[in-house]
Amino acid sequence: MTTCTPLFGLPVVEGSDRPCDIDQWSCDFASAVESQLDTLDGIVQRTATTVPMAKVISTVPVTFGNETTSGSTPNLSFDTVAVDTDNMFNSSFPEQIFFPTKGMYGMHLNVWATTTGGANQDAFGGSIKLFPGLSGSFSTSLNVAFNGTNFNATTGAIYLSLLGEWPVTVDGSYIVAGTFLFIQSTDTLTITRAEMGAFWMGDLS
Amino acid sequence: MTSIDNHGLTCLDGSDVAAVSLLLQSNAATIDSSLDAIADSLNAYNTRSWAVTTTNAAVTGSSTSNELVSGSFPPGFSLLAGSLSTQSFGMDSPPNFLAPILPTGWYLTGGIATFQATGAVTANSRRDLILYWTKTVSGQTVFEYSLNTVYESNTGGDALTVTGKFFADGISRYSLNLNFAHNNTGSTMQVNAGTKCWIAYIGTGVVV
Repeated sequence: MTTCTPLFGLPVVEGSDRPCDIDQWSCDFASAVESQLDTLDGIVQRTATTVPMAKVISTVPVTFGNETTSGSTPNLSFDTVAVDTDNMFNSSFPEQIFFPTKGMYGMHLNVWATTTGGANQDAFGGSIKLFPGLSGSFSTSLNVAFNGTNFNATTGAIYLSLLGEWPVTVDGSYIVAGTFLFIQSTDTLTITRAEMGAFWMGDLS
Repeated sequence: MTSIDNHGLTCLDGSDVAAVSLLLQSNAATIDSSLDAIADSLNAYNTRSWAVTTTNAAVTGSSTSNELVSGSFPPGFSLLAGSLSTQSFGMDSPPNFLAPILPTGWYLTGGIATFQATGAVTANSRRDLILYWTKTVSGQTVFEYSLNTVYESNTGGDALTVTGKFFADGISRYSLNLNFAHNNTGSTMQVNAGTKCWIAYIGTGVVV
């Protein structure tokens, strides 16, 4: 047997083949089909059951002061997992989300905070950043999503909501996501709750 | 006949070479079934639920006390300081854009709005765009929400985007609402036409 199908290479019986060799052909054919079905199953498993996704929550209030200097901006630390389908969160690294599976990812951040009263035009903002590894620095980070607002002199609640997307590749090491906040005020600002998440949107070519 | 690995395909061994017809029939049926299952899974992935709603007209506050048409806050929601109220947009329960019960899993939601004061602008007054996801269980309403805030700098209108990721249990009926709140004491506020609220299915969140 020297003939195979053009797309998947499935062996084909020819007129010159001996009938007594039919058992060999049948096993070669069945093995080739099995291999293609296994490949398709592997692709479909990533989409039909669940995609890689995570949502982690920070429930412990934390207070920040005036934090605008690069490298000293506070990172949020997360303590509760709402969903994690791909080992994207490790409580030993509570500030970060990992990406074991490459792909295009959507990433989101929501922050609830309260102010004790600063001045008009005081600023509050945050970003989701990607780092090349666990020890990535501010200078090597990449902004995926960013949002900022200002607040006034009265006490009150303030919120942020961010959404962005970015292709994540895995070349022997994880790309990790973390948060950075900035507060430009003489006031202190207490983060009462924060939610960060990521979800796989599609394959990278 | 010999069985091959995972999908139930078979092949002949030396003792049953004459069973070619049976082999071809068996494998054809198995391949047909396997391909059909794969096609169903891919179709389900490609036809995931999503919807977008938009408003066709502006919504303007009906009084001079700086309130939009009053809605109701979810239980336990913290009222902002000042005279504030909300106008609900979006998708009420039961959702009329999908099957009556949302399939179980995680949904990405969001909303965008532009707005401006109808008269005097109160400098440094706040505006909130609020996205909340509610369900009613045994007469009790439970909810989650996301918000975004901007403080008016007396330069005109503003825009906000808010986003959130919420879970549907496949049994309950859910409501997605986009609300706007402000404390512009100088005049009422108008939320412009073209305000959008959207929802898209991400996945089950269950690892098999």
